[in-house]
Amino acid sequence: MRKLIVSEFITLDGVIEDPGGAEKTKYGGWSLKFWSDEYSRYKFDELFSADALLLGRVTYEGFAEAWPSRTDESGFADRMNKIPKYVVSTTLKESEWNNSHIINNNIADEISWLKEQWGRDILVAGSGKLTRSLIKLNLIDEFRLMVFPVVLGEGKRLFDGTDMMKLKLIDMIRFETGVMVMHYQPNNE
Amino acid sequence: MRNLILFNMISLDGFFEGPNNELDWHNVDEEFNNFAEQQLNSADCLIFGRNTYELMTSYWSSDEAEKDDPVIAKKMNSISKIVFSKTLEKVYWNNTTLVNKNAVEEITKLKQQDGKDLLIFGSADLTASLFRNNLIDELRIIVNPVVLGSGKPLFKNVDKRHYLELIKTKNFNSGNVLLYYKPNGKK
Repeated sequence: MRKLIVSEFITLDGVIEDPGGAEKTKYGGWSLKFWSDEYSRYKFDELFSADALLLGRVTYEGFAEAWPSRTDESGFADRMNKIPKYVVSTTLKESEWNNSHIINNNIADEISWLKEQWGRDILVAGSGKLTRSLIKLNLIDEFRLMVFPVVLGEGKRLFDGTDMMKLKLIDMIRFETGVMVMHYQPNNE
Repeated sequence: MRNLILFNMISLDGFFEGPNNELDWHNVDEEFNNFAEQQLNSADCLIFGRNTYELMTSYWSSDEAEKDDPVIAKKMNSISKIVFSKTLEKVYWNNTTLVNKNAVEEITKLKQQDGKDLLIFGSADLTASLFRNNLIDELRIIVNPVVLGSGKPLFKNVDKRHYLELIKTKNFNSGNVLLYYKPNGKK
């Protein structure tokens, strides 16, 4: 069974919206000043341990616009463009980005099927609304929250409106710029 | 100069209380109690807004607290406490002073005195105001491995993006993680 991992950039007060500034929101771009080689390597390893991305429409559209024109020495951009991408949307008609597949029906079944295939991890990035659906469907195996040392006070939060959920901390990594990654598993005890 | 330390237990989604003031989700064990005790020893004054004051006094003065956490109950009951409120008329908790003057001015004065740390818990509205006025020297946030979905956010009305500096972290066996931050620019 493949693991479904939700990996998010998140502020200390739980906001996941617009970490890179691409969405041009009022407080967007809050992750940029904390970039470091160290966490860039972490993200690289994470991408290469996966062989599929699962995204909600908004995140997909943002990525589909940004990534095709990017290139870098490490091969990260190349990988983003080549890796299979599954976008969950009932409104998206066409997926222009290379190797994209639309899931517009039977979401629980389709994603369960993906998990049952042989392969590496399935990675969810951004995609707040999709993540909340996945939580309800009990399909998430791990949360990786990259906590940035910033407080915004407003913006879309990852867990807004979900039911109470207990988790288990399984790993924690600290990066030199003050960013922490916390790995959690749902706790079903 | 005394330091003003903000201390809070939060859920993974950034709430310090459930939607109906629930605190029962707090992951508390002996290791946490040892930390709480040490923290109280490093301070000589606790600061509260009205809501947190009312919750605190109701629990810590109770028989249940005396039975479950006698050491901390004793410290909480005896340490000097200040409540900032324009609506409370009287306070009944031992060694507690009610102040209805401007909190920012009063706390600025308190910080200039000699003494140990000033600790503030919960008190979201008061905290937000102190944070906006750059009076908080250190944030100690314990992140509990629980998602609430809704509740009282620790940081609201912060008026702009606030960058912090991570000083150190501490892992508890319970899965709680204590994060020590300084606001950017503080020494």
